[in-house]
Amino acid sequence: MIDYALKNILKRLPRSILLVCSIGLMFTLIIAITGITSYQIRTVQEHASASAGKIHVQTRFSGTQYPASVIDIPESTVKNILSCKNLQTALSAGILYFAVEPPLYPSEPPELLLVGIEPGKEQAFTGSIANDIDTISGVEFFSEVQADNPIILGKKLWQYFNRKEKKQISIGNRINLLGTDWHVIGILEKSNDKVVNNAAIVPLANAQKVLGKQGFVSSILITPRKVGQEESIFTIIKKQDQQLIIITDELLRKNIIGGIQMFEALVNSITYVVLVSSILLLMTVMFISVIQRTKEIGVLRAIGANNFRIIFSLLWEIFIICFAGTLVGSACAGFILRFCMMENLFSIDHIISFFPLTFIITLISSIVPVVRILKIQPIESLHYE
Amino acid sequence: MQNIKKEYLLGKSKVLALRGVNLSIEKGELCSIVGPSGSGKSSLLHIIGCLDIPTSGSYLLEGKSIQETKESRLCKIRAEAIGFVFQAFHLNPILTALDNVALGLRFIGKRKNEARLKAKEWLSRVGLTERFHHFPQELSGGERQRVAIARALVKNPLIVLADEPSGNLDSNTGKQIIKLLKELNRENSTTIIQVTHNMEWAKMSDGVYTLKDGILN
Repeated sequence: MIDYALKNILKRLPRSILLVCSIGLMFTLIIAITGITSYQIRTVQEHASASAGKIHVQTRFSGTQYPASVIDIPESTVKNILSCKNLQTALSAGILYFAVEPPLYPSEPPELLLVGIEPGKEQAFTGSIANDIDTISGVEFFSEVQADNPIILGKKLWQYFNRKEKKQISIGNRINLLGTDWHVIGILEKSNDKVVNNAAIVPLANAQKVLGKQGFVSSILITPRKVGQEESIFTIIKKQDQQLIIITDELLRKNIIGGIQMFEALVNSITYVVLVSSILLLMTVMFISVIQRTKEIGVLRAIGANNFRIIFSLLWEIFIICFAGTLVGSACAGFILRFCMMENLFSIDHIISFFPLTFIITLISSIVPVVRILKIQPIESLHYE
Repeated sequence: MQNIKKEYLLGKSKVLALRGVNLSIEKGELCSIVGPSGSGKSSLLHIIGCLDIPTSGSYLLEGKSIQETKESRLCKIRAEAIGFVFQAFHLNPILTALDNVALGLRFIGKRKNEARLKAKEWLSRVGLTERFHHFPQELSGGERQRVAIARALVKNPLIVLADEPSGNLDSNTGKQIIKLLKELNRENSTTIIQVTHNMEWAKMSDGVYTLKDGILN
């Protein structure tokens, strides 16, 4: 009866195409929405975890945003705070942040972030390079090479410049950023740290000169010598300037994740609406399609088809249509996730989890009318108009 | 069949289509049931063909009672023992003439190739050698009825039930169809019961039963 099922599909082409497209559309929408949402949540969680262990001091104009967006802390304040004995000097610094390119999505770090930091304190921002996970080409400290306008690029930013310059940037090449030529001395990739990977790290004085913000920074990054000394450090900071806000990693994580939860709830609502609408459409089309075949089913019974054969033939039809719809949906969802998101977010798991769902929905909407038809006498089915 | 009664519910009122029909048919007989429109001829034929169940009465087919038979067993009987020729043909529009005829054989377990071979044989016997791969909508009324007859006979049934087989055809074509049925009855000794309102065609059969107001004479 497989060939009978195939003939039914081919002869009722408009209905079959409508069903395949409905399933494909349902698949595409749900996978694309959930794929993009999962990507966003994963990115934000990586972003949140990258701030672990760091304490930022910013003015209230930047608020709790990371990286800080306003360059308004005087270097004198930085010097006073960093003179505290309870701080690790090499890992505490005033940092200038400037978002050259805004983030692609909310709660993400900027696509291109200029970071100005005092030479010798680069690791306050980048953290130490764990060689089995992170990678560095060139150098990670400005003092290691003699260059005017040295710049260390994060990996994602290096790829950005490769696309922009239409060539592969190497150590020693020059790039133009904010109207100034920079000498690339290092290319750095930090695992799970989108802020560093999107950063162009330059000496603080150079960044201040380019932006016309001499004598100011955006944020002060502090690292206590010992655990438990935070409160004493916070007291010193408050004494310096009451307007300063202290952002611990816990607060930062809470803010970042809180933001994405609202986004997640909204997207989930949209997904459920799409899912329910698609299911209703699919069920309606299948239900009507089967009811319209009441006479055909009556003829089959009149010439000797038993209930099993009739249901089996229908099962095959549903299987083929659902499979075709899933393939169409996979192709569309894969295209959207791969080419629009610039990252391969589509996986075979999507097909494995989605196909049974569509099969069951289509099966339920078809079996119910078929069972009703099979319960009546064949002659009643034959008389159906 | 003994004292077969069939009642239909039309809204709130009941209509008694058959009022105690007694019928006994010999194997190999070609008989006709005639009667005016609304006399219950088709209802009787549908009960004989296990497409409907009587409200009361006894129906034995080859010595076994139909009323006590499960639907699955009835399907088997319809598949193996009964061939039906409908007035409206009821051919499957998505299948060719060949596949329409072969379909019934698939239901009794024949393989596709074997079924198609037999279907070709029967389509040739009814004079449709050139029409194997045509769809029903590409055939004339007479050709469609021939396909329906081939479909009914291809499985070598015990009984062929023909409900107004020439009802939708012109008189010449109708006569050809009745002649074909008579030929097949003679060649294969298949029991054929036809329902008709045309006395001329009824007289071509071995026995004529008249059904009037739900009673058979």
